[in-house]
Parts: sequence; structure tokens; C-alpha cells
Amino acid sequence: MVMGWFVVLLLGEKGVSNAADARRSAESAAEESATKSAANQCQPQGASVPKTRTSPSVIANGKPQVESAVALVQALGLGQQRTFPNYVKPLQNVLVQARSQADEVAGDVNPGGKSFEGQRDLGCLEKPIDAPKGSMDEYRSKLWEQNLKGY
Amino acid sequence: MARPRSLSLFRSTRGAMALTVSQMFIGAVSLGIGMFRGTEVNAAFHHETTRSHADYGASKLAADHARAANVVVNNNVTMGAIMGPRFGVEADNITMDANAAIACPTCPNSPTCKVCLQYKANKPRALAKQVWVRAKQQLLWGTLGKLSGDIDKLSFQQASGLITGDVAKADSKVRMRFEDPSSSGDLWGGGNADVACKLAMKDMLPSPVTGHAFPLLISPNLLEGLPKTLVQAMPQMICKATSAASGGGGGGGGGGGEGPQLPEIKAVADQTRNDCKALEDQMRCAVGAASGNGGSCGDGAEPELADLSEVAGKVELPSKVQPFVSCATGTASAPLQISGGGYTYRGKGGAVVSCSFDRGKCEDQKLTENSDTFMREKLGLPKVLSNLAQSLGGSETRKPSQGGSNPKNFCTCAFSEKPVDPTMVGISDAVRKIASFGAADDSEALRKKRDYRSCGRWYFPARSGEFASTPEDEQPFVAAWKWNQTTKCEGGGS
Repeated sequence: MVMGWFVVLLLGEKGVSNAADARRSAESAAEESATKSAANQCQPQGASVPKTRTSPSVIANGKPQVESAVALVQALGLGQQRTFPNYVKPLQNVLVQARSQADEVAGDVNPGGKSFEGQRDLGCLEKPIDAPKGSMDEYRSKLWEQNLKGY
Repeated sequence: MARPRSLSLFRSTRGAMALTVSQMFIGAVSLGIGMFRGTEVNAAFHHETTRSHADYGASKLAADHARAANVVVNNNVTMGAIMGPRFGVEADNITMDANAAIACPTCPNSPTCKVCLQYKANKPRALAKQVWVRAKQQLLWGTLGKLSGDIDKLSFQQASGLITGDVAKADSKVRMRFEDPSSSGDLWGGGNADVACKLAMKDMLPSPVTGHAFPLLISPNLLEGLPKTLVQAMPQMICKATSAASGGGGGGGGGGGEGPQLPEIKAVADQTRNDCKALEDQMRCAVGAASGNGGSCGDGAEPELADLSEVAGKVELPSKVQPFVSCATGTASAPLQISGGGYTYRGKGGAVVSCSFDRGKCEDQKLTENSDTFMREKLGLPKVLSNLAQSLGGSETRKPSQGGSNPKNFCTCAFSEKPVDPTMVGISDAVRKIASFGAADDSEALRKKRDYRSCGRWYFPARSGEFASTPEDEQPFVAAWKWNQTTKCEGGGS
């Protein structure tokens, strides 16, 4: 009988351990996926954590408050230039939800089949949209063509 | 020998009791271990997930600030982009006016008079462009420059609101706070209008904008090359940029100074001649005074050379004259070449030292000055104001107020805090008490208030990749600002 309690004790410990492992896997996968996705300019990336399922989703999270700039610049006939999207592109986050299920353990304290969830949210890096010499000539030439050329 | 029954029964009862007690003890221990283990695991994940909210906050703040930096760049680029055409239109208008100043006095009989007629017919069109481009330039510089100054504050306000809302949705018990540099000062300062204007000038020179009015409105241009020279000088004339003019050139063959020269304009040429004559006269007066013959020194007499070797007094030259007086020691192998008036004396060792008025240098400098004055007073070039930003529209293009590509204050931090669930704390305390037979105190570690910090910095990738060749002063005109996450901001965000 005493040995029976030890068995129960060990199985309980195993159950807690499996549950903790599953939760740990979910947290690690969420962390890894979110970091990779954010660093990849918000292209969703999975995680290499076994037995987990990640679902990264890209979320538009606000736009820069630059209405005055957009209005003025567009009034001059500008808006197609390479770096113009910096005014209007939505700011993006990646939100990753990762799920993992614990392994079965014999006995009453069985976490098997129970799902654990980890969640991570990060702002995304953006790919620079300018070139080393800048884009002044693009703005200038359009502005000139549109408004001043020809007298 | 048979054992007494009662003894057997007694042993049996005690054995069962002992077994039960030991089973209960082991059960309690295993339950306690399980619960304690559970609280430990729970606390570990509690810390980790709370920390992840700080990570989210820092990454969002830094990403938004990096975007704000790229918006500032776009503002700078747009401001520079309109300054170029303004240079072109200003230069064309000035050149047209200068053409008129040359051609109109020759009317009606000279063939050059047709330039004057073209001018009178077409000047209103050129003027309309000038008025438009000046107004737009000032409007853009005023509005976009101000936005560049405010954008980091706006970004922070917007981002912090979104972060707080997002985190509250995920876990309403988490408290967020932020340490952001935009709340304590301006991240983007002014003071780089000169760079904007130089870039605009460099962009303009090879473009068809320069000299566009000729031959469209006036043909021939009596001052061929002046539009280009003026565009080169515009950063200096309008934006107070130093060393903007890379080589003088000169509309009508002038050059050498740090601005355009208009020797073809009679008024400018006369003024220059008179200015230098007056300075030379002042020198003659000073020499006359030193030699004791200060009688008729300002009467326009021919230059002469006075020998002051015997005079004890020193020549007191006015400060305006001094820059144009050059002295040289004559030797047998290199005899003195003296073109204007002046004076000689014997220096140490008996060598003859001759000081003369350098008329060429004077006329070069005065021609530049008088051309500039003529353009500002007669041809409509804007007056240079003491407040540059005001003259350009109320604001300037921006650069990091601390300078460089990776300023220390381009860094922001987010903090998250959440108490550990009280049930967990209670279980942990109870198990600790039981396991220590009542000796252990309540857990301080689980009650301790923990503020998790995560920071993000944004910067221009100055020394890496394709942007390694971008000069530092041009970085605020290149939209490549990015960010990364860090544990701490240098000098703050503790």
C-alpha cells in the first residue's frame, strides 16, 4: 500500500510535469514565432517547437497621425513616390497564439488531451523603402511636371 | 504457544492505524509537493507572460518611432523637393530681370530691345510661377516642419493608448507604464536647412528645371549661364548655407567670389568701380596723413606711391581698406610689381617693403556684394532675415537633436506589472508552513512587486548594408530608419 502511494505520487508528478512541458512548449513556440515574424517584416513564421501549433496573425495597429502632410503633399500631385507609403501604410503587429497538448499519464491526474495556450504580441520591423541617395529627385520631378513646367 | 486474541487484535488495530496514518502522511506530502510544484510553475509562467506585455509595448513604441523617423525623412525630402524648383524659378526671374536691365535702356533702336519686349510680355507669367512656388514652399516648410517636430509625441500618444488597450484585452490585471523620450524634449531639432538646400541645388543643376524660362520666354538670354550660377548660389542666398556654391561661374563671365556676379548690369558695375575708388582714396588719405601731406587725398587724383621711409608715424588704414592692402618685400631677384597707389618704406635690413591697394581683389569682392544687393533690392530676391526658419516658412527641415545616426535619446521603454494570483500565494504559503512545521514565513518572492522592463531603440543603419555610403548629414533625407529591441536605454529607462 505504501508503495501504491509512491506510485500515485510519481504519476502525479509526471502529470504536473507533462502539463508544465506542454505549457512551456506553447509559450516557447509563441515567443519564437512572434520574434521571427516581427523580424521578417510581419511575414508569418512558424516555430520549430515539437507538438505545438502556432497561428501568427498580422494585425494593422493604427496609422501615423500625419493627415496634414498627406493632404499637402497630395495637393501638389504627389503620392506615387517610393517613400510616400511611409505616410499612409498601417503600422503592423504580429500576434501569435500557440497551442500544445500534454502527453497522457495513467491514473486520475491525467493532463492528456488538455490544451495549453501561449500568446505573444510584437511590433513588426519594416523594410526600408528608400535608397542610399534618397528620393528627392522623384518628388521634385513630379512636382515640377505637375505644377511648374512650361510657364 | 498461542497468542492471546486480544493482543492479536490490538496489534492488528495498531498496524492498521499506523498504515492509515502513514498513508495519510504520504498522501498529504504528495499533495503538498504537487500543489507547491504547481504554484512554482504558475509563478514562472506568470512572470514570463507579464514580461511579454512589456516586450510588446517596447516593440510597438520603437516601431512607431522608427516610422515617425521615416515620416520626418519624407517631410524633409518633400521640403527639399519644392526648394529645388523654387531655386529654378527664382533664378529664371532674376535672370529675366537682369536681361531687362541690360536690354530696356537700349530701346527702341537697338536689336537688343527685342529682349526687353519679350520681357514685358512674359514677365507676368514668370512672376505668377514665382509667387506660386514661394507660397507653396513656405506652406510646405511651415506645415511639414512643424509636423516633424510633433510627430514623435503624436506617435507615442497613439502607440501607448493602443498598447494599453491591447494588453487590457489580453489581461485586465496587467498595468503598463512607459518612459518615452518624446515626453521630455524634442527628438528632432532644426538646423539642417542648409543641407536640404544643398541637396536641392545638387538635384536641380543637371535637371531641365534650371534655365527653363530660356528660350521659352526670352531669347536670346543675354546672361547665358546666369540661371545655373544663381541656382548654385541659392543655398547661400536663401538658406544661409555655407560653401554652397561650388565654384562661382558668373552669369556674364564673372566669377571668383562666393556668389553670382553681374558686371553686365551697368548700375552694378558703376557701383563696384565707385566703391573701390572710394576705398583707394581712403588709403591715399591715410598715407597722406602719415607723411604729413594730408591735403588733397580724395580728389580722384591718379594713384601714386609715397615713400614713408623717413616718416616716424605709422600708417593708420581704415578697417574697410585693410583687406585690400597687400604688402611685399622687394628683392633683387623679385622686384616689386606695383599696380595701384600705396606707400613704401624700408623694413628690417634695409629691404624695400611696398604696400599697395589691390584693385582687382577689391573689384572682385565688391562686384559679388553689389550683385547680391542688386538682386535683393532690384530683382526681388528675398531679403536675408535674422530668423532663417521664419523666412523659409516658419520651420525647417529636421535632424536628430542630439545629432548622429544613433542618438542616445532615440530609445523608449515599456514596463508591465501584475500581482501574482492570491490563491497561488496562499497555497504556496500554506505548503511552506506545513513543510517547515510552522517555521516558514509568508513568501516574499511571490508578493514582491515586479516591474518588467523592455526597451526599443531606433536608428539609421549608418555603417551597414546599402546605406553604409550615405553621408551622415544626408541621413535625415533617407527613409531607412529601423529599430531593434534592447534591455535598457543608455542613460535612462532604469
